[in-house]
Amino acid sequence: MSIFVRYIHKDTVIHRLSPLTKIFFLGAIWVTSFLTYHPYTLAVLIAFNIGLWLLARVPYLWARFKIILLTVSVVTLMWTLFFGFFHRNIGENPHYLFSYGDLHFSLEGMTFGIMMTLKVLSIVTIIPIIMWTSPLSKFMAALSKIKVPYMFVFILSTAFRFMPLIDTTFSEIVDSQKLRGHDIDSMDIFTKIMKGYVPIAVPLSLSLLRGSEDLQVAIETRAYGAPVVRTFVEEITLKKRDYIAIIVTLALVAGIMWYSIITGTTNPMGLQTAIVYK
Amino acid sequence: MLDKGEVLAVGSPREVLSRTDLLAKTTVRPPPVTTLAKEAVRKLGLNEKEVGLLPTTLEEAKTFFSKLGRVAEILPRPGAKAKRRKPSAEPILEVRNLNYTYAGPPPVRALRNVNLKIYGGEFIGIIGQNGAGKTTLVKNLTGLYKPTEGQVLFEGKDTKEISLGELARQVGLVLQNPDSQIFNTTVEEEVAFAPKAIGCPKEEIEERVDHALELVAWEKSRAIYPPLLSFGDRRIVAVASVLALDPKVLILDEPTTAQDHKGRYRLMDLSKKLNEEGKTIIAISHDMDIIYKYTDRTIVLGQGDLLLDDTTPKVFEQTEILKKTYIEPPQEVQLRQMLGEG
Repeated sequence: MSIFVRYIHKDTVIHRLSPLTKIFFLGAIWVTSFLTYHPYTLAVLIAFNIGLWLLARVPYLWARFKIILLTVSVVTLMWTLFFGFFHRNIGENPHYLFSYGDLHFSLEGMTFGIMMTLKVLSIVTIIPIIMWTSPLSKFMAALSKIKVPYMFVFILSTAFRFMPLIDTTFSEIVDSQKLRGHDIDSMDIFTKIMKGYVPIAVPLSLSLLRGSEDLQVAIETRAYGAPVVRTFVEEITLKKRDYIAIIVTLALVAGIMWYSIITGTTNPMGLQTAIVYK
Repeated sequence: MLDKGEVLAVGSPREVLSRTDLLAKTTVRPPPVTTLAKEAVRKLGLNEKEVGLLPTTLEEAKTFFSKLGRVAEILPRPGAKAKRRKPSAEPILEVRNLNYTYAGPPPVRALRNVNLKIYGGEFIGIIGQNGAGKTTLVKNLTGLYKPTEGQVLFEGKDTKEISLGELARQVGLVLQNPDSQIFNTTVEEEVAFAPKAIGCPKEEIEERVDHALELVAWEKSRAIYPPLLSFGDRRIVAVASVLALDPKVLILDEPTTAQDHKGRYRLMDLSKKLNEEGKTIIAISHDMDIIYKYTDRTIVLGQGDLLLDDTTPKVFEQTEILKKTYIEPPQEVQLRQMLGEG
C-alpha cells in the first residue's frame, strides 16, 4: 500500500500546484462522485483523475492502476452479485437475467453494482495524487492553513509515515512465519480465519505498539504539545496556475452535475431510467 | 563506562578501552587491536606498566607494534583456526545463474547472474553493503523467493519443485528481527510452533522442542513469557524455534545486530557448535571481526553482483574489490597490511 502514499520527486505542472488546489480536487471529486449516479459521468471523473496521474508523469502508471483495479474488481464481483440478487430498488417490472431457485438476478441490480464500483474508483483514484505530488510537510502545512486542528494533521501525517513501515513489518512477519512452516498463502479461507492470522496479527500489533512507544518518546522530547502558535517552513499560497486548475475543475463539476440533472441521475432510481429503461 | 548502574571508569576513550582487565568484567569488548596488543605484551613478557596505554585505533596500533618489532612472531597467523569438518563432496545448495528482480513498481533488480555451490558442513559468511542483495540471496536459498531467472537447487532438486514447508525443514533462516515471529505466551510454545505447523505428531513435537532448547541451553527457561526477554534472548528463542525443524542448513541474517559483545558471541559460538555437529551455517553480517573469526569461506556481494567467493583470509586480502562494496577488512587484517605483514 505504501506505493500510494510515497512522494514521487518530479517537476510537473501537478507537482507545482499548491497542495490546497489538490485538496480542492479531492473535495470536488468526492462530492460529485457522491451526487451523481450515472456511469458515464463517473467514468469522466475517473478519466479526469487518471489525466492528473498522466500530467504528473507518475511512473509505472499502469502497474499502480492495476493494483487498484485488482482490489476494486473483488468488490465489483461481490457487489454485482449482491445487488444483482438482492437490490430492492428495481421498479415494478424488473429485468431478470437468470434465477437460482427463489433468487432472481436482475439487470437493475447488476447495473447498480457496476455503478457503485465506478463510484468507488472515482473516489479512490484521486487520493494518491495528493501524496504523490506534494511532500508530506507541504500537505501538513496546507491542512493547517485551512484550519484543520494540528492534532488531526499530526495524526494523519503519522499514519501516512507509518504506512511503509507497516507494509515492511507485515511482509517480514509473513516471511518469518512461512520459514517456520506456517504458509498463510497456501491455506484455504476457513483455515486462514481459524488459525492463519493469529501468528501474523500478534507480532504485528506488538511491533506497532513498540513503534508507537518510540514515537511518543521522540515527539515528547521535541516539545510536542507545547502551547505555542505553530508556524510552518512551507509557505502555502495560491498562484495563477492554481486558480486556472480550480476553474477547470469547477467547470467539469458543473458540466457533470448539469448532465446528471437532465438525465435524472442524481438518485439511484434515475440510473435505472437512464440506462435500463432507455 | 557504566556497568550495572555504577560508574566503572571515567577517562578518554583510550584510557578506558585499553583497560582490558576491567572490560573483561563487563560485556564491553575492547577493540581487536587492543586485544592483539595485550596478547603481544603477554607473549613478549613485557611489564604492562612500562608499556603504558594499549592502542585502541589502527594508527596507534601501527606505532605500538612498530616499536615492539618482531611483528611476524607476535601477530596471529592469518586464518589460523581450528580444523573443521570436511565439507560434503556434493553441494547441498547450488545457485545457477540466479537473477532476482523485485516486481515493484518500480522493478528493482536485486541479484544478477549469481553462481554458487554450498557444501554440507561449511561455515560461510555473506558480506556486502546495504542493498547488496544478501538477504535476497538467502531468501532465494530458503525458497521464500523463487528466482526470476536461473535456478536454486537443494540436494540437486530445483527449489521451485519443493514446497516452502518441505524446504523449511531442510534450510532454516532466522531473520534479523526476532519480534517478527514471536507471538506465543511461553518460550516452549514458541519453539513448538514450527513442528506443529509442519504437522509433527505430539511426541515428536515434544522431542524436537526438548532438543532445540537443549542446543541453545535454555531447558530451564521454557515457561518464560518471550516479550519480557531482552533482544538478545529473543533472538535465541527465534533460533531455537527454527532449530526445532532440525534443518541441515541454518542461515542467520545479521546475528550480531543490536546486541552487546556477549550476545553477539553467544549466538556465533552456538553456530560454531552446530557447525561442528555437521550443520551447514551461513551468516550474513556487517561485523567483519565476527566473519573473520568464525567463517571458513566468505561470499561478497555488491549491488546484486557476486564480487568474491573464497576462503575468508583470501577474501580480506582483496581490499580493492572490498572497497567497491564499502567493506573494510577486520582491524587485525588491516593492521597486518599496514605493517607490511599481509
